[in-house]
Amino acid sequence: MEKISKREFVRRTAFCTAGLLCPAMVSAFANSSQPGKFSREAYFYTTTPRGVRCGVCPNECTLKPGEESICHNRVNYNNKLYSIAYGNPCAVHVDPVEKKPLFHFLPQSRTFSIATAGCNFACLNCQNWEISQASPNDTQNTALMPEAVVQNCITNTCESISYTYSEPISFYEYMYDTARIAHEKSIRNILVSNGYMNPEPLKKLIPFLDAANIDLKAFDSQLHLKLTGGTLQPVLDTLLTLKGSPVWLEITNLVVPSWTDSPDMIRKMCKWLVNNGFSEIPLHFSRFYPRHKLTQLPATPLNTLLKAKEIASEEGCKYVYIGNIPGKGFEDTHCPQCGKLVIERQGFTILTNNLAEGKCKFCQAKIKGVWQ
Amino acid sequence: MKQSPYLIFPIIIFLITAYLIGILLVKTGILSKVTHRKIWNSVLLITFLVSGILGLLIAIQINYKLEWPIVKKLLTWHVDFGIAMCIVSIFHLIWHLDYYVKLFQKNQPTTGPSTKTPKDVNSGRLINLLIVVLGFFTTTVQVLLIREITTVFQGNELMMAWTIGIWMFLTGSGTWLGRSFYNTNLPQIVRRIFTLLSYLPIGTIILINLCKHLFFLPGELVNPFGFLVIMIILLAPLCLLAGFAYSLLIHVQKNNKDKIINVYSFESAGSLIGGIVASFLLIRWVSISQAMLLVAIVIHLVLLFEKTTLRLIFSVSILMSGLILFFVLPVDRTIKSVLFQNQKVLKSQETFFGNLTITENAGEYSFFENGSLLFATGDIIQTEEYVHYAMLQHPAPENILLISGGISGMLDETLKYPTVKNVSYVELNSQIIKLGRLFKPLPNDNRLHVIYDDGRRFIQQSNHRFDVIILAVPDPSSLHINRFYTTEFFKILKQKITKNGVVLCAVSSSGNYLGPEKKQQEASIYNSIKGHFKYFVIIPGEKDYFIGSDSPLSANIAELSDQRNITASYVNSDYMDDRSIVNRGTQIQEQLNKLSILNTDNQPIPVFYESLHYLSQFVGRKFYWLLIPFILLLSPVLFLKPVSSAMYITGFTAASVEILLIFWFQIVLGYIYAAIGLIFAIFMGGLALGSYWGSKTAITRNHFLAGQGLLALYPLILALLWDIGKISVTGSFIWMIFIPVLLILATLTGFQYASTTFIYLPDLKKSAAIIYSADLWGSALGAILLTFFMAPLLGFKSTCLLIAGLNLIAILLNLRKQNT
Ligand code: SF4
Ligand SMILES: [Zn+2]
Repeated sequence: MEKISKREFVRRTAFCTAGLLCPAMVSAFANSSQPGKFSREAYFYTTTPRGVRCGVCPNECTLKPGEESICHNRVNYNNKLYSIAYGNPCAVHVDPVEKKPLFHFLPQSRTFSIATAGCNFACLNCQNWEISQASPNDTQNTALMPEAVVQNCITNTCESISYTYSEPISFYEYMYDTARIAHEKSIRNILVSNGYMNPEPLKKLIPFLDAANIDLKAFDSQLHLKLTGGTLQPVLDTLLTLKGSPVWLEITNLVVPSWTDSPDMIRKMCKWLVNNGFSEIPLHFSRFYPRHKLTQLPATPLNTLLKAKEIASEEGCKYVYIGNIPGKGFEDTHCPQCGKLVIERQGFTILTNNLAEGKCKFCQAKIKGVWQ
Repeated sequence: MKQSPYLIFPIIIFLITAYLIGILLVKTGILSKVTHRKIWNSVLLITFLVSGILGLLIAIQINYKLEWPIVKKLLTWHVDFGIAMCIVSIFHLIWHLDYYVKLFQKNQPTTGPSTKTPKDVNSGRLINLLIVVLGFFTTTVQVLLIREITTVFQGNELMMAWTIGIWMFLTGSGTWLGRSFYNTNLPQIVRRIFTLLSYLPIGTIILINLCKHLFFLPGELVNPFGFLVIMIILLAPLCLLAGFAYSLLIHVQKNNKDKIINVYSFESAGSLIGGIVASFLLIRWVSISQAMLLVAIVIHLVLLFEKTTLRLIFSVSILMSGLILFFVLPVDRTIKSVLFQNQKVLKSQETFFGNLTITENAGEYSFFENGSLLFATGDIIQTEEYVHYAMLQHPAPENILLISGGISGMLDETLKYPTVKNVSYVELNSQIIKLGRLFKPLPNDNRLHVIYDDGRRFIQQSNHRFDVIILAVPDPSSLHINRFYTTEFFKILKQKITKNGVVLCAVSSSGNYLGPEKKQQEASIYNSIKGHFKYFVIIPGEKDYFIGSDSPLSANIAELSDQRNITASYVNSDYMDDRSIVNRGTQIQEQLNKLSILNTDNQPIPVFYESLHYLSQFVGRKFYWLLIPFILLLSPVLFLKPVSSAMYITGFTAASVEILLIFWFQIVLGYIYAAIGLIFAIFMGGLALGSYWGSKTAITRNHFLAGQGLLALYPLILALLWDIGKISVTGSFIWMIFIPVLLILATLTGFQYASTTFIYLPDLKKSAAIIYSADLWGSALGAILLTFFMAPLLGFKSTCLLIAGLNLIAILLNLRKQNT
């Protein structure tokens, strides 16, 4: 190497340090987020010698002052845990309730859907990664306090409010307060979630919930962990708790090719569901589309989904649906007793309705659900 | 391989083996050298005569339209003998290479003493040959290996650019490491390094496939930072060694300024050959692993030519058996099957535009181009959305133009409209249809016309008018694809549609939330379309669809489809919830209205946001992480002196301007595969020419400064050139401008290599090595910066100004040094 002068040496060192310092400084500023207008002290947390520990979900984040949670929307500020997603949703839409999907709950009604940034999972195939993997500080939000949500729901003639898209568990405080006010105004509440929640907050929420759709993402703990970042057991516990409550429950299973499409695993899942009394809970097998970090897998083939449906029926699941495959009659409800077509669906439309007061018109068997 | 009528590889392998056996016999003394050559000369004559006479017969038959039934057979023999003749004549050429080298230098007075010892001649000739081979080898391997990497890691444009960058950076570093190399037994070192080098590509391929399999989950998008690290580690042995070999060959040369610059010229010439062989021959006929083995065998043959050792013979037979193994067994498909777990790989083939793999899973087919999922059959929703969202807007569509996507089932959808008279379907990569047809046949309908061409080029040259134009091209993630989303392009489309004509394009869905990068990307496209049409609408679905027309449009798809009698399984009033579609569409539109950025040919801004969007999946908004790889690329500047910094800037200029020129060419004339090969050849030829010219000039500092000055002036002239493409001109006129412009750039770069080397250090060999490293380091930075920052963010013209400025800085740095 050539010899370098002293001045040259100083110049080079300065250049290097500047290069290294820049990122460090930027990150120092980025971390100084403070709970501002849209923050509420969290409902479930414990102060421990290691920092504050959140009790909402099994991740049980322990945060030191200034730290941000795994779900990106909780912070330790002055040794108190705050949710920073209170009243600032980043997605607000009106959807048909069938889109959640809920097929046995107020069919053909509209639901006012809200989501804030943040999620306690990090699924490789997330459809909403731009909001689920971000903090409310980084998204463009709309100020919408709980009262305003309910008001908006009424003006949009929606019968329910859905907490959906990202993960409502992580905006628990906002959801809880909104759900309470909604019930006062006879608006129903729908939880669309991954079910990764601790029992205590769930029990507190249940009185204000009317329906839930829980994603059962994979029936294998290791695979579940690899795909989502969370374990399976808490999700199963949530399912059991919800089933034992008055909340109307439906389950979604996304069939991801090469990941969760093994017939054995699907059979194991259906067995568990039936043995634990979920046979009358609608089960939606849904078609995977290449999204987020799983963009290099093709969509789930129809035959795979048909196979899954067949397995579920064999094991004794009474209401099995296939989502995202239009026009093939996979969204129809058949009477589990006489086998006749009770509800013929096409997307968000009911073409034929052979249901009277929650019963099959042909054989009077009760079709479980919340029909009005 | 099965349908191929000609025995290319059996003949090549047979002849090479025979030749090797011959050499072995000569070396062991069983056969005399003269007899050996006599035999081969006879073979040459026979092949020449047979091929020639048969050719003549065929010519007569064709000219006079004679009905000779055996003519098919004749043709096969004609070609097969032609192949053999070609191979034998290559052996012949190698014997007499020095004759041709002398021919090339004819007008030069010979520098050394005219009476050379035979040994000198031999070694000089061999070194030149080795240099050419090195250029050939590195380029072939680079072209093919980067393809393989892209396929295996499902690389996008960003990753591809970084791979090229890392490649050049490491090669430059290898040369740098060898700058002062000295060893008494150079020939033996050369032999060892080249043998080692020849094994590395195939080894690298195996490791690449293994790494992907071990470190990444199935179907998972590869983390760009993990990818960078793996690439640096995997490419380091190959690139560093190849770079080192360059230094080595400089040191083997006699200490003579011509000879030292010759290394650069010959290497460029080798690259020229390598580029053409790789992109036109190898890609067509063999798989990448087979090509890597073939290239290794070429290196061995050259080494054998210099000295036949048993070890080399052994080594070459291993390679040969490897090659035969790859031909006989479906090794390549097995390797690919590992990558596509749970999917059955039906076909994996190299095409001009990338690797094409077709897989099957439970009765549905997926098409992967360069490892990235292009489309899958059975995706009813997207297929229907693309077609019906556009077609339903027109009261009676007759002439339809579909750019790409037809094989996924969109053609069937368009043909559902009874008014349709003609559907033109344009696809760039003909193999997609030819291979795809085997698994998913196109509708058999005489209203359908398939055209293999660049979509933009087709539209520019077409004098038809269409009622509906559907652009089913991928997201604008590269300069090449972005051409389908610019305001200039929509202006052309506007001229090619009828009065009520409808134009539809789509980008991947913003889902429930329009993120900042996505917003910029969509806004630039939105503004570019909106400006040309009276009516505009966004329909959110599986993708975000942008539709423009001069007749009123509607997003109430349910309503529209009810009015028509088209049966679609998804796009119908049962599935379409008009209220939420309209709401979401207006929400998006309101947000896009706030931005006024435009996507132009001159400034392809979506490319930048597309890469940020991709990266944000891994780093969130913490884009400062990107500084780390850039600091790495910039780090050599710290060690460079003003003169070598100037070469860094020259390399930067050459790489970035070359890409800029290709980009310009694609906008004006369209994407033509053969043209890219030609452009590469012209560039390499120019480098060889320029450096040769430099080596013959008595260089002073003023030459160097003048060269740099011309490089500063050049981009300024280029900026003026930009608008020539806007005036409608003929293809030949564009070529007439383009070739000299490209040649000037390459010649200047080659000349600067020579001039910089001469004035840099008194130790010419060390100087040549360092300057070469600087050239490559600069090129690495230039290639990456241009594609993802300079062109999209600054635009063509400002980029030209910036490059001119950099060259001025190079001049000033060196002037200042002279003064002090
Ligand atoms: S809700 Fe969020 S902060 Fe609480 S434990 Fe779960 S991930 Fe951590
Ligand atoms: Zn019944």
